[in-house]
Amino acid sequence: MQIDEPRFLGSPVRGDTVLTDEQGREFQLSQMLGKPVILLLSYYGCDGTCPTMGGELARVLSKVERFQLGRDYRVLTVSFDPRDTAQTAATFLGKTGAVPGAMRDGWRHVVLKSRSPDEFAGSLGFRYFWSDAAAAFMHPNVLIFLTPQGRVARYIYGTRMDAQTVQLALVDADWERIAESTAVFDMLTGACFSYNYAEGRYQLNYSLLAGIGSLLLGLTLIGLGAWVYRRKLGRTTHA
Amino acid sequence: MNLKEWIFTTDHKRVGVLYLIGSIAAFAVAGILALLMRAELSTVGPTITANPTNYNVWLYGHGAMMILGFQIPALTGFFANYCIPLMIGAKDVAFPRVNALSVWLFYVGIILALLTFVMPDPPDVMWTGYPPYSTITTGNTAMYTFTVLILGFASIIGGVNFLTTVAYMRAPGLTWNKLNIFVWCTLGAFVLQLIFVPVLGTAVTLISLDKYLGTHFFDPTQGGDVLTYQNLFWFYSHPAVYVIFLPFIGVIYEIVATFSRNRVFNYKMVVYGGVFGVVALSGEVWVHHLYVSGMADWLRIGQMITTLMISVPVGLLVIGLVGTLYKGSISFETPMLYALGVLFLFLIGGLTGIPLAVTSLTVHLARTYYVVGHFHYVMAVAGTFAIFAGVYYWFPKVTGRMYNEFWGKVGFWITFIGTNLVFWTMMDIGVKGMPRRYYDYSHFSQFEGAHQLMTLGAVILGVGFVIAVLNWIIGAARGPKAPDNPWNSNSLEWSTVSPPPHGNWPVPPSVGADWYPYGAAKK
Amino acid sequence: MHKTTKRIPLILAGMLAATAAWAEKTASGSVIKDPAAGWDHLWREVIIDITIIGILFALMTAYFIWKYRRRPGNEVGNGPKLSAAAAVAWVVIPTFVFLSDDLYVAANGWQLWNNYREVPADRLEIQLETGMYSFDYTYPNGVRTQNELKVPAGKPVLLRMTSRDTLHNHFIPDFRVKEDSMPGRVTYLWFLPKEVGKEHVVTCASYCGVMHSYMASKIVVLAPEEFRAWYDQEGSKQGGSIKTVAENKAATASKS
Repeated sequence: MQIDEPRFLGSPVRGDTVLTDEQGREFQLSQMLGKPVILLLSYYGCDGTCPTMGGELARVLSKVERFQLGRDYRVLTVSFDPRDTAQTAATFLGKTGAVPGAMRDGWRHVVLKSRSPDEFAGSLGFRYFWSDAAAAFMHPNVLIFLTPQGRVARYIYGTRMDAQTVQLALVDADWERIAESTAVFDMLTGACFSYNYAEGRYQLNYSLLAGIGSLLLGLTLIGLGAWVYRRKLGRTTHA
Repeated sequence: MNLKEWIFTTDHKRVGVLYLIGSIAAFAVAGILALLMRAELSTVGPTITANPTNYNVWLYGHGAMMILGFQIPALTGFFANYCIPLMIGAKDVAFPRVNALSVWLFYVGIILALLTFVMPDPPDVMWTGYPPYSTITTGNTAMYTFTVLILGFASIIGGVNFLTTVAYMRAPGLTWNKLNIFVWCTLGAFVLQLIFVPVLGTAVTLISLDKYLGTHFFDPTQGGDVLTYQNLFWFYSHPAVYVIFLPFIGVIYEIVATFSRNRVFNYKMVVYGGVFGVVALSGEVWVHHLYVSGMADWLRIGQMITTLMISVPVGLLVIGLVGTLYKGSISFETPMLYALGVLFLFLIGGLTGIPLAVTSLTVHLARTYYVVGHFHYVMAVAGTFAIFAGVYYWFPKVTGRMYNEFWGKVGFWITFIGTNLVFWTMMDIGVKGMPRRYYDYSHFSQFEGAHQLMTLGAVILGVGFVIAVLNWIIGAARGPKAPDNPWNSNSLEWSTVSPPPHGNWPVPPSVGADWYPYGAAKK
Repeated sequence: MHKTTKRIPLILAGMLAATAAWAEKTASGSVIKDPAAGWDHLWREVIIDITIIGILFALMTAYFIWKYRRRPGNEVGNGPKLSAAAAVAWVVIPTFVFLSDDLYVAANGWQLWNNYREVPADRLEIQLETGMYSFDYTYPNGVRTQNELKVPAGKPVLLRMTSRDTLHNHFIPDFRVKEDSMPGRVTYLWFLPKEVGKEHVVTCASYCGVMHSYMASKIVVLAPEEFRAWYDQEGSKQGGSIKTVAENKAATASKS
């Protein structure tokens, strides 16, 4: 079920895909873009991991302080079950109650209107199938981070998430915005961490830190030398 | 004068000469490698070796030896060692034993580099050593790491030594504003070495850790980042260009001022605008080596502006040089010919660098022969010509004898013609798309004629250099005795006898308020 | 001298009156700014610029060398001793001259850079995976080719690149474009194929190992109908798992 990351990282979602949300509002996917989007592929008849994923994401997002849902990024839960409707989305939301009301502005639960789930999920490398034995869909548990232009920036796997990983993935997804001076902090965070594909988490970019460390060493050497020189110079002129 | 005395010497002049001999040896080896490469490229397809790895190893050896084994040691080893204490009127450097240690380390470094050619699986990672290739090749990356570390360490302790020497050991009356331009330039170079060499050391150490100890600093599947290496490497290696450039332009200033019998035009502009400006900007332009490496767009475009801005201090240095000719009394002995040659080569090299500063033009030009031609003009041959100019200039001081003026001039003209033949052609086919580091250009076979022209040029170039080196050897052994101050210079190194004795002056010199290192000597 | 150099940016700015002369219209009517044509244009501008500067400096140097050569009556140099004001002026004025030229070049370079990085929405997006020593292309309908890329004339082509082993570089000299591909990151480049029937050399421009110089590919430009026929045929030939012809059509017409 693993996504072929080298092939699908950077691939675009179709902005003209028409979606219907839990309140029955119809809109194009492109309206959600312009900010990073966390995409969660689910289905609303699910009583297994889907509600858990949603709940876990809500819990983690409430801990992300650097970015604000709705203002800085959005979340989109998309159903890949063709039987789902706006109605089932609303029922799912009401039943699980995992997504707090305060988050609902920036977090919409939608069904696909203009495109088949196969095609939409396939374009992101997301594969799933219906298992008669389990009477459920088998699918990977993955958060898909989209850039403001709607390209896949990162896949983060697992039902257990942590706020730091989500925050760093958001920085990754919005790397170009960093040209604005206010985002220097994000730029530094983004540069200091790098993504570990094998373990699916962010870790410190050790090589960069080692480089910065050695630069500081060089600067200290020079600074120390200049300081000693000035001190000695001061002493000789006093004498 | 026995061998043991030379090996264990702590005299700055002898240490300098040892540096010169070692670096000329490295130059010879690297030059032979260049000729081998040119021979290989003289026809499409395999020519003198059927194994591309051989070519790649030559290419690695040529780059590493020329930069780390020849230019940096010759400029910051020989010239700095020989001239700085003499120019500031000191008996020796501040730490003579440390100085001896640095030249030994240098010899260890170039011996390591030479071992490349006798060991199995020699490094084939280019002098840049980019991962992931350097961590997966069968070539010996560790050799590369150790060579860089040892030469880097030698350079750092040299830097500490000279900064201290100039700070504390200047002759009475020799204030900062009366230092020779060369001294200022070399100080700038050493400041850059001290700040940036540790970064290079770290970067090359990490690739060896990745390769041999299984760490993942640059392995993206395990959380490493490929691009970080390139950033760290160029964060040192672009300033390294100025580590070469500053001393060589310093040498040229000495020569041009002496042979024009003129004061340096606008000394303070040259020092505080030119030298200080280059030092200040050199650390902020490294991304122009990564314009097509997949960096974030805003970083690439941001450093286009800093890169273009470096034309300001460099331009001031050139103005100072041309201005020194103005109303001079110019004579054309061999050192001056080489120095003027540098001026023209540097002009071509510097101006052809402007397109390479522009991110969008570099999208086509990067990684082609255009880049190779450009940096050979601006750094490689301009630097080498400056080293040759300097060796000719201080030859009477170092050896106490004169070289042959006629063969000196012949050597210059041959080299000058060869250089332009090779590197102008190189830039030309680069613009037309010839990629660099190609063992076989079978899908660019339209460039075969140009490659043959370059091979011819390389041979001419080689002949010119051989004439110059032979001229030195013969001059040192049998040349006529030189006067103490053959060029009639005012600078302090000419005020002692040739060659200077241990301790340099019987009585350490001091200078008066109206003394100045340039202009005709007051009789 | 510096007065003359100061005028160069102005002269050249005048020559640049029609900045976006290389912008052209496609069949669909949208304007495509082709970076390859823009490159040639800017290259010419910059070459004129640096040639003028170079010749000025070279001529002046040559003149000084000749005029102030040592000869009877000119035995000692007599360079000017600058007043404080003149010394400062000799820093400030050249600085502004150089900076103005720099900024002129930078502004044009910036504009062209945007053309390189802003890909027209109507495009063919192809995924490229590089490896030692091949270029492996995947079309939107799943068609895969190796070391040969067929493209329709007149349609911008975007390559989304990654690498499975080491650094490589997809360099197309004819389209004046190159960009590295590497493991762990996604990079891109685009170009506008124009001449039907033409083959363009693609070559690896990042040193990638023993066979680096043999790593090459080619771009074959087909007429749109011809490309369509090949694409559909190849799609149905290669793809049991891939989509129907109708979907292919939608995918190639995709606007991201």
